[in-house]
This record gives sequence, C-alpha cells and structure tokens, in this order.
Amino acid sequence: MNDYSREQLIIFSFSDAWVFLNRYCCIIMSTRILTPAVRCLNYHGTETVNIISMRCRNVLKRFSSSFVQPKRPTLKSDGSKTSFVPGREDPKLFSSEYIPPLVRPEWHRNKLKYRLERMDCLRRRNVVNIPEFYPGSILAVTVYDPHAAGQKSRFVGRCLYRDGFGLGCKFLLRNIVEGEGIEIVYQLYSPVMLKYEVLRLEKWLDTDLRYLRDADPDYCTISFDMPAEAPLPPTEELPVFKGKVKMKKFELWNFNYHKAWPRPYNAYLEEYFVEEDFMEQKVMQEKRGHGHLQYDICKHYDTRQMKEEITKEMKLNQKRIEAVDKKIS
Amino acid sequence: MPRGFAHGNVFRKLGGHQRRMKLLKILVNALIKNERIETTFTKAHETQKYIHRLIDIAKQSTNDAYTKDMVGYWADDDSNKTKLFNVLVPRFAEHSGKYTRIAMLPTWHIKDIDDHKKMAVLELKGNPLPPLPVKEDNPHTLQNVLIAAAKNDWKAAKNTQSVSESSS
Repeated sequence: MNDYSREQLIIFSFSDAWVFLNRYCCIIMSTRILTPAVRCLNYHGTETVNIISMRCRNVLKRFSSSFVQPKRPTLKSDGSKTSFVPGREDPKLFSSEYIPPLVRPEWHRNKLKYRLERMDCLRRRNVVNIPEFYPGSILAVTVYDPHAAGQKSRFVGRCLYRDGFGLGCKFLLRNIVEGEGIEIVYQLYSPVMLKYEVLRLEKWLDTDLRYLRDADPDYCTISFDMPAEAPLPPTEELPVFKGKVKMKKFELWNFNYHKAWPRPYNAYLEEYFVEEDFMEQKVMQEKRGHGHLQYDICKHYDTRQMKEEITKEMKLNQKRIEAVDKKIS
Repeated sequence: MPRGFAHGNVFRKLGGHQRRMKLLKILVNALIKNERIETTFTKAHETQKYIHRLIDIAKQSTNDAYTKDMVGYWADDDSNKTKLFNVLVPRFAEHSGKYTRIAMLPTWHIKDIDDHKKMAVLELKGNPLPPLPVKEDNPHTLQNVLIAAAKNDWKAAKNTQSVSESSS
C-alpha cells in the first residue's frame, strides 16, 4: 500500500483533489473500499484528511466523521473536599511505624518506651520531611556520604517492604542498574538521610513485595532521571494496585513465595505449576505452609483501635515539643 | 496456673498446626453449645484463649469482612453463631476480660493404664448450670472490702474526669 506522507499530499494540485472528492467522496470516508485513485488522499488510513484548502475542508465537513474533541482533563481535586481521606492522614500524626510490635506475653510490653520513641520520631519528622509512601511506590533518597562528590549520594528505587517500629523503621529500595539488581536497606529516621522524594506514589495490596526479585525486571528498573509525578492531594483516595506481576520460571525462584502467608495477591504464583505439581504443592502448603494462620485469631495482631489513640498522643506530643522549644529559645 | 512459657511462646503445639486448629474449633463450638465441658487441662487452657478472643471480636459488632470470616470459621453451626451474638455478647457486655473459669478435677488414676491425665472443667461465667465447687475469693474479708472500695473510687474518679474532659 502506498503510504503517502503529508508533505507529498500537498504536491497534488487541489483541483485534482476536488475532482477526486466529487466522484469518490462517499468512498473516501469508508476505509474498507479503497480504489488506487483515492488511496493517495487517504492519509495513513485515517478517515479525516489534513488538507489546507478551505474549499476541500468545507466539502469534507459535510461528509467528515463525527469527530468529537475529547474533554479537557479536569484536576482531580475540585476543592470541595477539605478533610483528609481516612487512610491518608498527616504521616506525622500517624504512620505505620508508630504501631508497637507484637510482644508476647503481655507484660513484656513497655508502653513508656513506645511513647518515648514516638516522641523522638516526631522530633525527627519536624526536621526532615518524611512523606507518606507504601511498599510499591518509587522513591528517590539522598543520603550523606562523606566520600562522595558533594558529600551526598542519591539512589532511586522501588520500595519492596517497610518494617520496624519507631526509630528503627527500615525500608528496602530495589533498582536494576546497568543490568545489575541492587537493593539497599535504609533506616527511615537515620540522621544520614537528607531528603526523600516520592517519584510515584503507589499502593499495592501486598505489603511484602520481595517476590519482585524473581519477577519481570521491568517493575524494578527505574531510571535515575525519572521525574517526580504529580502528587495526589490527600483529600483523594489512593487507588490500590490490584494487578498481577508475571514471575520468572519456578525453577529460578530463590524462595517459595507461594508458601508464604499472607499469600501474595499481586503475583501470578500458582499459575506456574503443572497440574500434578499443583496438587502436590497444595498438599505441602496445607501440611507445612502457614495457611493455618488465617483463622488463628489469637496470633492475629488487631491494630484497628490503636490509630485513634496514637493520633491523639502525637497531637499532644506536637504541643509538648513546641512548648519545650519555646522555653529553650 | 502457668502464666507463660519460656522464650515468649504462649501457645502449645497440641499435635501440629492443622490438628490443633481442628481440635480447638471442636472444643470452642462445644463450649458455646454446652457452656461447660470437661477436657484435659492443656486443651482447656488453650480454648480459654480462643474463646476470650472470639467473644472480644463478636463484641465489637462491626460488619467487617474480618469478623464475618472469623466468626464463620469458629462458630460453625448457625445455632452457635446466633447464640454467640444474642446470648453471650449481651451477657458479657460490661464484663471486661476473662469470660471463662477452669476448675481442676482429681487426677485420673486407672491401675492398668498408665494414663494420669489431668482433667479439668471449663465453663463460661454466668451459665445457668449449678455452680462448680471452685474456691472464689471471699468478698467479706477486710482486705477484699478495702480493695473493692478502692476500685469503685478509682472508677468514679475516672468517670468524673472523662465527663469534665467531654464538657470542656
């Protein structure tokens, strides 16, 4: 098929085009029936044709396809919502590392220690802006490095998991740089961390994404020049990513991801087993896996009531810190 | 009564994870249905933990997927489920904490079988059956009277504090 470019179209005289249109105008608009005479006017197989002459344009208007200009994309927030969405409050007041760890038996829990540690977290947050991010989002982190040029070094990666309580909160960033997979574990509250940028805020259903090590490498290859995407205002709900990641062959897995509990949702794990192996793996899962933990109510950690108390406490802590700073200065 | 085990373990193995879950499910359902069951001491101690947690979950009375899943697994029968929500939750509405009581039975000595099981009776508090001969604390001793009075004072102080907070 002769694919004429737009520049070549202009070469044809417009009188010729008029003649063509008069005879074949009804045929131009249906791409199914294409005579060689009309094909030259057909610009890359589209129904509408970019012709400069007004005469031709007017003719085409009568027979042009109903082209509706798409609506301008509106901003996500129209200013009507003023309060935070329940899941996305100020991370200073409530964040996942404020929830105390589960320690059994109960009298081993030192509540004073937890309260003091949360206060220290707030002090650090007043100095460095630690944004909200979840496992699955892409972060850029600048760290103090005495041996690097400018005493700083920057690393970009996807957060695979976030663990720990209080000042010991860690998160893992993974990136594939020049074909080499690199993972770095950073401590969130370390004084060495200088700056956090959330390049893309994503929230996955799973909180532990370490199976991305044995999955499609596209998910973890992030260029260091990636620009930050527009931040979602905290009045909007963050959509949870429910897609499924394609894994490498089962023989190449470094870990039996399908035996973990809670079972990962965002990955195609069971689809890699042949039918006979699938039944065997299921039996093994039931015997030696952690499926029993799903209904083991005593081993569940119920943190639903903790959010309110912690936000209350952190508000009080903010006031306390202000008072103390005033006194000192 | 043992309070906790070494290394922070708080749960017994009871023959493996799957077996343990099935066993505890049977015992919990039996307890809800009969309100008083007789088992070995170890099994009774484990079911105590699970029935306390189950009643706490049912008390919260949210239409969560979590509560539905858990209650659907642990209170198997429909009759047990209705009993849990309509009888036990109102009974223990103001009761905070332990909803059950364990009483030890004399050890089971059988001459031929070397089977010295430590049997116990596990019952829900407030049940309509005749009371067990468990030695409860005497509420009329001087210490217990003073302790009860102190408890009431503390509760009253807490109530007035919360009232003043809410009003201001």
